[in-house]
Amino acid sequence: MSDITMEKWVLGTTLMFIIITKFLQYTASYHESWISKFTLGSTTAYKDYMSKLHEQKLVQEENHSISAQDNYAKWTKNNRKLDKLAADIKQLKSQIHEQSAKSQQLLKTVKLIGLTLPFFALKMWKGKEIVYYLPTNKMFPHLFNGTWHQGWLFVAMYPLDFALSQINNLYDVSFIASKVPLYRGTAVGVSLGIWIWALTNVLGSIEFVINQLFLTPTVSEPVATEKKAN
Amino acid sequence: MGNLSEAEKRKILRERRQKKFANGGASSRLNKITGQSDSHLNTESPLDNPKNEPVLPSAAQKIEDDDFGQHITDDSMPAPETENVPQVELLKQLASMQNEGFESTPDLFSLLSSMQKNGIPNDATNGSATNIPVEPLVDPVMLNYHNFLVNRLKAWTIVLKWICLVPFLYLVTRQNDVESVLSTGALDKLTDPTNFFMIFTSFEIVATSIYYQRLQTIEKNNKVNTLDNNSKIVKMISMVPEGILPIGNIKGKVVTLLQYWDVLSMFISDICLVLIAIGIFQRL
Repeated sequence: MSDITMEKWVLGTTLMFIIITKFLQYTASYHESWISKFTLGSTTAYKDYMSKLHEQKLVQEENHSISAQDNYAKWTKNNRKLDKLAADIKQLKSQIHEQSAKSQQLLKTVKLIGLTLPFFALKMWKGKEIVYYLPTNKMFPHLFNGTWHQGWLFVAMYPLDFALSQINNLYDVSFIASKVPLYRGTAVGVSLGIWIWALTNVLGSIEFVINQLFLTPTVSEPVATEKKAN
Repeated sequence: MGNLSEAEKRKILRERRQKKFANGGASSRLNKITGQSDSHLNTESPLDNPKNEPVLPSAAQKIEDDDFGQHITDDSMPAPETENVPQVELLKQLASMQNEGFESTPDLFSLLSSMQKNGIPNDATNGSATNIPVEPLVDPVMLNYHNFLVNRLKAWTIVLKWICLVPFLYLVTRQNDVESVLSTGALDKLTDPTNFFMIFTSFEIVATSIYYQRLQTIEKNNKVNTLDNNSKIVKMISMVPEGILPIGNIKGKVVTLLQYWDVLSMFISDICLVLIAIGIFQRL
């Protein structure tokens, strides 16, 4: 029985990256409201917008309560004020939209710098390190064993290795063949890159099953038009 | 001439003109207009031969069933000059063309009205004439129901496959522990890691076949093709007219490729489970 061979911090960081990615994926629909709450809530434009909206409501109520003929001067004054408020609100709204778009862009940049790029770098740096070994090397064919052990590069290098081995039968090209970094060991391990891919895939399948069997509402069979006519 | 009324003047002029045409004047005039000796245009005027058959006899015969055609080709008509008037010939020709048109290509208005009524020209003659493969429209409610059934089938297939695979993987991974508890020959062969890939692949082939059988039954019951109606790739490929790309029946090939990919993706998701489950069972 083999134990995990990889450094624990690598595995922990990888798991943390996967959890954060999935969390952001599941909460994508709430991002906009979160951003507006954190970034726009304290801005002067937002405060002005809310106060102007309140003022507009008050003036509108006052205008509805008085007669335009009896209180013509007041009604006209309020009407002009309403026009001015509408223009201000429109301007503030466009400012808030602009700020919101900037915040969205900022979040995307933070996600790229804080999550995507470091995760990619970790995969590149530690991707070939073995997370754990399989019980035996007889479980899968050689192509699969090599892929689990060395990652997707093995699949790309496999035709070259095959061609070199064929040429080696006729001419001695072992000095070239030895340079091809292909898996020829006896113990088969699962490399970090492959493990991340497999874990993401399994999580995606579990997510699909839960979504389809528990969260999707049942759709009843539509009644055919011919049946209706009968 | 001065004593003659306007009507009499017109009658005399008409008679003079008809006499001139009867003596071959019309053909000579046409010759003068079309002019050239190497011209292939027919310069024989129908006015020169008042008793001749119509210019397009076959066309005239075809429209006999038509009221209008019957009217203009009827020998018992009291006005014989109508047979030879060029306007009438033109009308005959147009009527015959319209008659032929109903048998071959649809006219633009009928095609448009058909499209307005049904969304697509669903008439059999229209379909054969235009030769455009048109997919039958699927009711969105039915498509929604079909997608629900297909997704549920896929989800249940994954669950059932994993229910079978997980104990099997446990037995393969913890072979030594199991052997000490249960020592039966059949189980030994099943849990032997050497046989793992063969058993796993056989299981996948059987499970995928059952899945496809069920999928085809659903498609047949609902009369909906899943890939044609859901895949964006197939929809985009359907928009490419036949003949632009050097590959024939590109849509069929793409659909086949997507079907293979569907099978492969299910196999891949199961092999991912195998890798993760082996890791977990080794830690237990």
